[in-house]
Amino acid sequence: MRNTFINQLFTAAKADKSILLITGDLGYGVIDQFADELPGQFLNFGINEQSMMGAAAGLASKGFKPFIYSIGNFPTFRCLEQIRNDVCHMNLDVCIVALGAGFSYGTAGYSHHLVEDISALSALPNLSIFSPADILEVELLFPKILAERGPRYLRLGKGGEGRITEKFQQVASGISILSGSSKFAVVTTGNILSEVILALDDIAPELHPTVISVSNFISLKDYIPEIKYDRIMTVEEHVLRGGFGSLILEHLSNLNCNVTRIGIDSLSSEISGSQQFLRRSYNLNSVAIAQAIKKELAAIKL
Amino acid sequence: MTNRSKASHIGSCLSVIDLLAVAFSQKTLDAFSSNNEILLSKGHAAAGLYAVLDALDLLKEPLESYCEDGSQLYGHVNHRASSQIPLSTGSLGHGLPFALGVALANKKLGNKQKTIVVISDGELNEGTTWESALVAPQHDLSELILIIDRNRIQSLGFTEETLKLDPIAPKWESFGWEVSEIGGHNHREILDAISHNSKKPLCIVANTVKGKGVTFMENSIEWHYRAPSTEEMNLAFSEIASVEK
Repeated sequence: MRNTFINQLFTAAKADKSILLITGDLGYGVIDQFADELPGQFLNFGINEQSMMGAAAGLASKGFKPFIYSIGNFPTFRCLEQIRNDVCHMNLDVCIVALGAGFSYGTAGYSHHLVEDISALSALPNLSIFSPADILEVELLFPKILAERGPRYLRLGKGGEGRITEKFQQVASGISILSGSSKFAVVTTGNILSEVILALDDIAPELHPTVISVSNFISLKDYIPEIKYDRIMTVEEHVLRGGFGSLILEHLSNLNCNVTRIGIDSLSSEISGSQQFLRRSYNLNSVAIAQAIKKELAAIKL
Repeated sequence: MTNRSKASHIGSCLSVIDLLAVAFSQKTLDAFSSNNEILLSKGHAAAGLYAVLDALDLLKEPLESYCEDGSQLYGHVNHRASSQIPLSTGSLGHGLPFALGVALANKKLGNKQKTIVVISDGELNEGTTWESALVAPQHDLSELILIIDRNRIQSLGFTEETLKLDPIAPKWESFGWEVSEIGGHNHREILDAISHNSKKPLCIVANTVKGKGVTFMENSIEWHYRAPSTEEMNLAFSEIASVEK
């Protein structure tokens, strides 16, 4: 996912000299070609996310289009006030790219788990949030991210997600659907979609819910109120409080729809391990998701 | 302004106002400096900045609306108050990193204009200040000018009793900046200092007096917070007027 993104950015930057790639001393092996071939548009700012974010705002105020590239909580929580005051309040063209959505950096530990960013950042004004599930969604989103003005936030998985949305149909910018039940939909964001798709293997095909992958949160406002499912299950590799499911609930608040949210109830400092282990521990793996889907299906039959 | 609105920070305004008056006057009167960008990072001295911009007819709203409901002239610096304000401030330690970005952009664009950022000495407590101290020389930002409003008082006490800052000049020199030290109320010294062409990022330590010009406000922590009563305001005006005569 990160390679796909950087390659697309590299191609775009060759044609647009105002595009800058700024990193907080991260991106080993990923940013090399960009840095080597476009040295005037690449900046390793050093390990100083707060100043980096403020400077990105300053660069954007002069017409540059900085893309800040770093891992998880560093270009987000570490510099949240710079994002709020210097980027969002000033409504400047800064794109923040955070690597390692959810538990992508599982064994790296708590500091590297990016599972509260949607809650924090969705409260900020003017900020567009993008959360692709795989490289296909990155490819689809990239022109939109490039064309969009103002503050943007892109959360990426670490890599190896493959092409899980290959059979999905895009119905709006950043909203793709795998058709199934007309009454029951599973709505997800980010690469936890792979667990949802695996979970479907355990469900009889005629009972499959519709699966909706949301990678562009701006589209939710227009799209979600239009949908006509009786039951919706949201799935996110993120805390439930203020997260993706909460956003869906906000958009559905005027509709008569039953919503169940699957996500992290609260992050424990005692659980550590790989992404797969953590997904299993927080009941976010395909087995747990299949069970949750079956429970919903049973409720529909009743 | 601060009397009517009962707003704080008159002491901070009086310590920084000469620095702002000279920098903005240079920008207005000197064609070579007309593209300079001036940032006030100590956003709590907004009233001082608004007063200077108003005197130069650069403010979008009347000064009388300061801190009034619906006014863009609220109590910390708002970029919507004037086209001459590049950044809204109020949380400390934001102006210098933003100014780094502006100076970097100008360097990339081949513009020779100066980026002048005024910070309080209290902002030397902020981590971003020292991050930026490292960054500016790394990118040879010789058109960046940092002015430290050295009034020796921060929110709850004297700077040296809170976090010892002295000696300031050698710290910045050791980071790779050129440093000059001036009287922060001496207009000639201010103008000379900001007109200096440095080969390095330039740090000007401007020695100032909090509450300058009003004896009962000078060097007083109280006037970081208090708004003058009408009686005090009249007393202050008469003292300033007598000096002007």
